[in-house]
Amino acid sequence: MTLLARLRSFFRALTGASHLDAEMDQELRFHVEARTDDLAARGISRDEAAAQARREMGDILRWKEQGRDARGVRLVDDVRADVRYGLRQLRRSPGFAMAASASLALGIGANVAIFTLANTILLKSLPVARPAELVQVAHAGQRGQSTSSNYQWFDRLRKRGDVFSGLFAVRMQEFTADANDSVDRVIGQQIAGDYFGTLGIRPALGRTWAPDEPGADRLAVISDSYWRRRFAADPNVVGRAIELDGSPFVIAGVTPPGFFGLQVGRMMDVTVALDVRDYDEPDSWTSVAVIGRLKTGLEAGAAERTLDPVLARLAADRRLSDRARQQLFERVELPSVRNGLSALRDEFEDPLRILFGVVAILLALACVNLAGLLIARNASRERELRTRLALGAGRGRVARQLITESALLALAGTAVGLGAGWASSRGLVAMLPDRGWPRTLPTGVDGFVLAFATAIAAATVLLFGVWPAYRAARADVGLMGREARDVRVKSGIGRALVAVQIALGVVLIAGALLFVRTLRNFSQLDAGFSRDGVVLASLALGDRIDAGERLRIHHAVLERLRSVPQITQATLGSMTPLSGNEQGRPISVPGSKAPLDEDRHLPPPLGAPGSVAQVNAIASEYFETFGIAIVQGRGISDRDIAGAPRAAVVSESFARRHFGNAIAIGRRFSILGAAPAEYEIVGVARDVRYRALRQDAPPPLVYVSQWQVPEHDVDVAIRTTDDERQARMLVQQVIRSVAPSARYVDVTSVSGRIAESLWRERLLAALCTFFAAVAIVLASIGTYALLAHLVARRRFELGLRTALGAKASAIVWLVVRQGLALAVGGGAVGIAIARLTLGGLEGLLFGLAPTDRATLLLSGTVLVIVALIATLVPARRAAAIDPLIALRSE
Amino acid sequence: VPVSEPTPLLQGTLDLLILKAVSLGPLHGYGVLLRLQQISEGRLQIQQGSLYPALYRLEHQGLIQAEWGESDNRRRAKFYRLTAAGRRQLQREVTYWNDLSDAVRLVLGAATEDL
Repeated sequence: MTLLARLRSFFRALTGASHLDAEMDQELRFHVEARTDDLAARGISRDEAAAQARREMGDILRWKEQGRDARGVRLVDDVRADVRYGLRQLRRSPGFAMAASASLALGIGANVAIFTLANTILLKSLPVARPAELVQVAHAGQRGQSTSSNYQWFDRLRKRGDVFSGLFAVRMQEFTADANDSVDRVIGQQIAGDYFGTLGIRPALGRTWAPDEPGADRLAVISDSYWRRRFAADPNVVGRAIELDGSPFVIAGVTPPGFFGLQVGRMMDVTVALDVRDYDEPDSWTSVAVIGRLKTGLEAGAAERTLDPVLARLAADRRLSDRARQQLFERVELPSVRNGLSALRDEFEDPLRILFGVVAILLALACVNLAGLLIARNASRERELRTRLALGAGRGRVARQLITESALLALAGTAVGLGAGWASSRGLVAMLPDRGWPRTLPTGVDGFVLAFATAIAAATVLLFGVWPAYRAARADVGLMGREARDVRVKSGIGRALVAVQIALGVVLIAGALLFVRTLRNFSQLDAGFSRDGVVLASLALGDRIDAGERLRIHHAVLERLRSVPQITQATLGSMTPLSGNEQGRPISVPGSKAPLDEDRHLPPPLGAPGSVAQVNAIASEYFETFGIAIVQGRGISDRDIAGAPRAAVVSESFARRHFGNAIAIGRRFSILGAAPAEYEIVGVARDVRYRALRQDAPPPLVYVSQWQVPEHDVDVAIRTTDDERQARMLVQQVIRSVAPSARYVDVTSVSGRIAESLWRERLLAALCTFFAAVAIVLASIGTYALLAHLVARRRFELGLRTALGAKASAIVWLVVRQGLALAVGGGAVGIAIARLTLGGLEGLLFGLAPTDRATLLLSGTVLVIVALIATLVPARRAAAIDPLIALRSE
Repeated sequence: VPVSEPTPLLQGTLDLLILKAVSLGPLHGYGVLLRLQQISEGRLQIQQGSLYPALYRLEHQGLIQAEWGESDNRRRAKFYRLTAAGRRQLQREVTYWNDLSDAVRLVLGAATEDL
């Protein structure tokens, strides 16, 4: 009896089931015929012989069944029959089938969507060799961690051959690139050290350069994507010219496809060498990332301890104040960069964590909903199941049938959920902030996501398929027709499941409400500037223009803009609201009441005495354009030109810090630095949240005249009565005509900047609202299904009550009371859970606490109302029961 | 002549009998029945239908092989033949059956004086 023979016969039976069946028929028929012949030969009439032969043969179906059993295909047959039967059952109750699979699809879809996104942003490793060995060099102290560096620090690290097998420094930078006869804005990076060797990147075309190679400062390596985009994948691209911010470079090579640089979500298009002169600022630390590959087998912790003394020696050499050292330079930390550096990831980590929680709750809700639906359904099928048991069906067999039905639902739900989840994860990427860079987030469903979805589905089937099946199989045949007695016991689980759904729904609604109210708080916030009607353009003139020419262009642009009728004001400033530009300068304020050194912001020139203030170089009409109120004195005006006495407007917080309640107008202060100068305060302006709407204590700030203290890069701003879109085009045209050398003009508006700065809050509010709506639908389906089921089971009793004279309203109340009890109970539990769990939202809320009483009560109330509405249909049905029919049907 | 009632089969012996029957030459299902009745002189009670699940089981185990052919009266019939594995199995079963029946006969034939 070889295994092969068994397999062969099993597969033949499986694949050629109908063929085999025909063969068995033929063989048995032959037997009966031959027997008939033999019997007839003994002298019995042919008919009688045939009848006797059939009698002797017995139950042909049974032999065939056993024959199939002998080949081991019985189970397969059963499953096939189960599937067919299950499909028929589901088709007979399409409402149930739709509700059940849709509930699972929503649960799984939401999870797949969020997981695909998370997988892309948080979990994907860098596409480089052995990413686990890569660490970023950071320094830390009481103030937390900083990844800034300077050249001396980098140089000392580079010499530590005992810690790193490779080390490089990288600075992200946007360039205006002029290549192949077209100009555009590209994302690039400047590198020092062994970037390519450490990451293990071999060029797909051309070459890279070795660390410290002479002449490398004129070479550029471009990405595969840029090569295809800009050079149409020209195989002769090596050696061609590319101009970055006006400086000429030669293309040396192309990186392999799939390598996006170090930042997930951004495609590094151009890589050039970092000019050490730019980097070597001994007394300040700049945002250049230092990344190293740890020697094989070296633990990050051990490496950190080895490097601590190096940092300590550097701090001593630079005569770092004790305070500065304690704050940021106490120890070395080596966080892993296996998943890449991602500003997007840092920003997205908190929202994603919250969304994970939300979709997990949603999935739990969907499963509970499904379990409730299945229990209600199986209970209403009890009569059928008991009949089958009574007729001799095995309990295991019946249970298997039920599990098959659950699996069918799970399969449908998973398939739909996967598709929907995948499609919507692409939509989610579109909701991420658009900062002009190419979207490189790969959002295909990969094996990991697939495994995740399958695991959810399998767990769900076990949870909701086996339990109701177990209950049904336990059903006692003897109780047939007497179901009414144990309604109370049976519905206990159903009620608990509905209460859980309502409780989870309350948590989701509360979360959604918190985010929606956060958005509303932001929109009502007075940030110190007006939001509408202001259009901004950042003016990048490049390095080849000298200072005088630059100022002439600034003047000309303003003059031209002011001559346009639709433009009521036009101005410029080096630091406009939410621009991300900040310029901290050391200052000295004679007679200041502020304690020294207190408001030190990094990166300051370490160890310099005095205080720091933000400096904003502006033109006239600035305060009118942005709607910033002048509290005392005047703003910067057309009088404040080069040669006139240096005037400054200070912010309220500046005045308060340095002069207390005394009058600030007429006081003097100096801005220190390369060319220290003294200013007279001519006005005080209201505090403005320049950095972010969340910034609740804006640091001291001074406004000076751009014509007296020129800044290199400025934003042009106009206030218009026109619609913003038109104004944006207008501004672009004006700048292009006045300053054709302005290579790149980024035009936006204050309201656009606000919208972009709130993308996380908007994303959370939108998604949480959507998920809360789903939760409401699920919870109301669950409530409806349970009550409809309870009403159906109490038909006789309700009919009797009506027959005995109960009013319709009393019957309705009887049913509604049950729903109400569930809703209130579930709602109370939900509020309690929300109070315990929503604390984690704190950092993303604004203007309200996560345990905001009104929000929690409101979400509880919403679900109670929803549950009440869901009970109305069953309640009315209960009141409409015809006692005659109900009593007769028992 | 009073004919004794046919004896019902012991559980599990049908497979052995089928193997023995087809070892004497290829047979179709009905032929197996006829041969068993002929050899046992009609003393075994065999449910005709139960032959077939047994035949399929043996075929599934690779002990016999089936082939379509033509019967004496020119009808299409399925003929079963012993395989090499079947022959070995038959030998084992025959030895086992002989040992068992010897032992059982010894036990049943025992009398007090033999002890």
